[in-house]
Amino acid sequence: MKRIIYLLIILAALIGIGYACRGRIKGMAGGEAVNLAADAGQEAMPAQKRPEGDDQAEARLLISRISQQSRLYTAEYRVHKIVTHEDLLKLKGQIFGIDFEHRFNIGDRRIAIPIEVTLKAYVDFSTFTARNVERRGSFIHIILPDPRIVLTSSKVDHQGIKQFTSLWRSAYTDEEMTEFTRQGVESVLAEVPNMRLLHTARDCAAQTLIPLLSSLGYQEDHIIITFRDGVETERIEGLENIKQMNHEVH
Amino acid sequence: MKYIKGIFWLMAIACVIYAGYTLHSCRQRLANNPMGLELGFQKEINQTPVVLQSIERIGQWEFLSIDDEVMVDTTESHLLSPDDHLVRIYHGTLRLGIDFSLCDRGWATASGDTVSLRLPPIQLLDRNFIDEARTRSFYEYGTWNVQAKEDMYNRARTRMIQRAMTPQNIKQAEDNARHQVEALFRSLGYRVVRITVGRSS
Repeated sequence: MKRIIYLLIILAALIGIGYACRGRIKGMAGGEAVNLAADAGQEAMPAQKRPEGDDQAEARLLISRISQQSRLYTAEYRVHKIVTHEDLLKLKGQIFGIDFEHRFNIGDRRIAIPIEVTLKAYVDFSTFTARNVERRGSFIHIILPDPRIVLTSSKVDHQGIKQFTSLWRSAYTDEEMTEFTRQGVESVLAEVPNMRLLHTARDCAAQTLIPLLSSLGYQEDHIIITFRDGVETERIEGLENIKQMNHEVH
Repeated sequence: MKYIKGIFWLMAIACVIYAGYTLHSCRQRLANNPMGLELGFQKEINQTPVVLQSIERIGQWEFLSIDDEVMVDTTESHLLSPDDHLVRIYHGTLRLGIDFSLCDRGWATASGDTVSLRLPPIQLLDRNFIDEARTRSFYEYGTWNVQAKEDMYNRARTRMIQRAMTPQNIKQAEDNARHQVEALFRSLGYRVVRITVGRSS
């Protein structure tokens, strides 16, 4: 009789736990989140996966793509960032509108990846025509297209990578490190509008063209270089590329 | 006494069932309230500062760009265990053009409606052109040190340069250079544009 009662208790407990948690917990070994307050229609946060179609489509594209350009690069910017990641178990959320976050030091691992990003500012001369030039006597007025910023290279300082892992955690994989690098470069490109690079790009473009025009016989103080008015937005090529894995976005 | 024990256990079972039912019904109510909990490992990097190290004025004119992608692999053999293997795919954009800093003095001279230009040779404008943010780790087995990854990067870079700096591509860049430079100086009002492009060594 006692055994039957014990079995009934265990069975009831298992039924109760299984009913409460059915379909909600997807496991934490892969690092996915458990949403304890999910709506019935919501799903737990899925693991980040690239759709299979993207890899296949990219494989079908030509490996090399050659395109003719007419870009005058006038300034080069070198940006440094240390990408850090702490792989801790974290419980965060809201209780009655109050945000909270708590980290559990269970199996700690951390990594710091120094990266160098090179950006260049250029003026696209493919659309430059005689309408961009005004001459009045010895004066010449050139209206240049808006400068643009493009990412030309990003490099990981492999020598400078520091990694710390606890005994019962595995080391960071190469795939994880490349993912962190991608996030780091993405964050650099997102910061570019705050760096006000276009102002220096315009100055450098003028400093490049004025000596050229001077060598053709124009006096320096008779050379006027302007850019299109009203366009202050920094257009960065590279951010979309990393997100969409395409190189050029116009 | 037996009956009390039995009643006690039955009440315990009833409590467990009721707790499970309550938790399930609470989840639905909590979903309508601004209250949520997440438990998991952090996937995103931390917020760290971005440091603008240098700004350099340059004068480079690009005439041809080549997107390239190469796959590089490396293997390390072991006596008593399976071989370590790492395969990475690198992506880079090689830019061919001229660097005005290499121009001779008097490289641009004008006389009336005629301008004569001596352009430097077409060259690769960037020593580093690989975008490691787009590097993909295709397959990895084993552990790999810094030297192995640096070596793979250098091999990828060398292969991309070999594929890009072909006589055909350089000729195409030169032809585009003549076309674009002529169009620019015609826009500046010159009727005759004479262009000489230096030869790459």
